[in-house]
Amino acid sequence: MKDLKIQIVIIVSVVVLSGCALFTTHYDATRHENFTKLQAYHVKFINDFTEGGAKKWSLNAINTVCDAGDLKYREALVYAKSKDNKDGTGARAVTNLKEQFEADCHFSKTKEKEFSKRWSAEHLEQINLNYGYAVASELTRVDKPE
Amino acid sequence: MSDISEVLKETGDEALDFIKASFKELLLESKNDSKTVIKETGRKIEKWLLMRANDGLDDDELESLLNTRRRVVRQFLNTQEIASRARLEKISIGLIDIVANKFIGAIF
Repeated sequence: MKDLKIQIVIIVSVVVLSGCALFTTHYDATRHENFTKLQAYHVKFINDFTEGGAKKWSLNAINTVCDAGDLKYREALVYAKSKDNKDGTGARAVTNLKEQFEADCHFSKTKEKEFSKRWSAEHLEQINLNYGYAVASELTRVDKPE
Repeated sequence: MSDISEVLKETGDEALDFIKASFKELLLESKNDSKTVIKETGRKIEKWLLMRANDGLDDDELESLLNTRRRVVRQFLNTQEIASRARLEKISIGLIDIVANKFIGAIF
């Protein structure tokens, strides 16, 4: 019986010591909501400025959308950083999406015209996949409500 | 062009042909991989190259799509890390809780 006790204590100690450093940031409802809001904003931006979309390309129009977006992504990133454990996985997910949005703004300003329909269709599929992974990862976290 | 092999056919330029051959090998490897993300990356790259060859995309658009895919793969890797860490925490904390709350006193 004494041997069993010692074995259990050793197993529990090993699990605790090896596990603590690897534990991850827990589920956060606001971070989850931020992902879905940013996705809606990003997709609307691409749709609006695609050939035949709701908006005509102009530098002013792009700057307005991109500046407003920049603030949204910055807020989401500051929030994610404030909630992250040492693993930094929340901030990393937001940073990835922020960089994508910035790249799309830069791409639009470089092209100086609406996005082509073919590019947009391919691009939107990838964008939605990226946000989908970010949301899915939030849902795998510890303490996610059932 | 309807086939990737037409895009990748030898040109006689040794350096370019070497790049094409290396790419062809990696592309085949990705398409035969069991992991969906790898397989899908190969499938997409093949599709976009064909679109570029048929003037469905320009160089900037192709480059933009490749960088977008790079970010998707990075997000996927972050997702894998989160899932793996969460699993570790759930199992180890679960074990500790069972021993601390149920075993001690009940078994010994």
